[in-house]
Amino acid sequence: MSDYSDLLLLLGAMVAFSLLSVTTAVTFQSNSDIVYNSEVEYRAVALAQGIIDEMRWFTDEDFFKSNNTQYYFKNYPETRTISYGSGGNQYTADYIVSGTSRLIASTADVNKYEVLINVKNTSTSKDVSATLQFIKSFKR
Amino acid sequence: MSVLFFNVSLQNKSQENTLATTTNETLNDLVTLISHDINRMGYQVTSSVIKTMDSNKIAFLGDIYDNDSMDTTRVTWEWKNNSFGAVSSTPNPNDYYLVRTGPTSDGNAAGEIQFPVTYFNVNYRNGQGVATSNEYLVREIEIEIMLESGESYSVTSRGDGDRRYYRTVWKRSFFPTNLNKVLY
Repeated sequence: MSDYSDLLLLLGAMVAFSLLSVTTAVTFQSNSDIVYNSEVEYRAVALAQGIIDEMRWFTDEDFFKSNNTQYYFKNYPETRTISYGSGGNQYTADYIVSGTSRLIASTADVNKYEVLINVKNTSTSKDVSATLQFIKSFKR
Repeated sequence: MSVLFFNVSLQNKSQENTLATTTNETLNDLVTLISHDINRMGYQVTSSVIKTMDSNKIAFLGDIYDNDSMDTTRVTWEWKNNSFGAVSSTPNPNDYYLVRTGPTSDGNAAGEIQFPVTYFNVNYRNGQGVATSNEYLVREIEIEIMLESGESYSVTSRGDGDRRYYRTVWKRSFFPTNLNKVLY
């Protein structure tokens, strides 16, 4: 009888240990996913900030008019490949950039446009995206 | 045996996550500081702004902080990827100091702050996005930073398996106000 109880205790311990190791592995994997996704999002935000920074200095209002042939986002979304590292070849990542511009206010003096830039990366298990907004004004 | 390997795996994974978190926090601090400096480039400056334009060194003038007694000061970011800049306090052989020389407190215009990084690069472009070496034509400054953890972690379940340094990277283009407003 005592042999059977020892065996049952051993089986129970093995089951408990198995559950523990699987749960721990899943938790650590989840933590790693969060870390990697945060990094990718950080880089996506940097790309979006760079695009907005550039658009701040556009002087031609036609770039912001969605029905104009010069509309900046006419051929968007587009994929931008960013290279990192010395020689630009240690690591590359593709980001899908999409953007929209719409007139949100028009007065006698000023036209205001709201620009939304979305940068998405699909290389991780869940897509990571960052959306930034800025307001551009033009004197009429 | 299973318990032993489980314990080792747990330690390695914990170490990796900790190193990842600390490395990303260091990168965030560095990015915050360099972004602040670059965005203040040329502020209150009436003469030429950029003093040094190298791929691993940039120096410029600007009134970096409003709430101090100093006017325009010179700020230099230089990556010393040679024997003089090698980081000796960490076992990572790829670390070299990225040194910021500039205002660190009121009255101290040339304080130094050092960050161990493994790659730092600056590109300078004109208004058409083409590389330029003429400081008066610079409208875009692209900065790239790569950071690795000072300590390594093991990637296998065995104690001293393949060891790696956690690596993270960041790149961004800046269009400083005081370089672009002349055209605006």
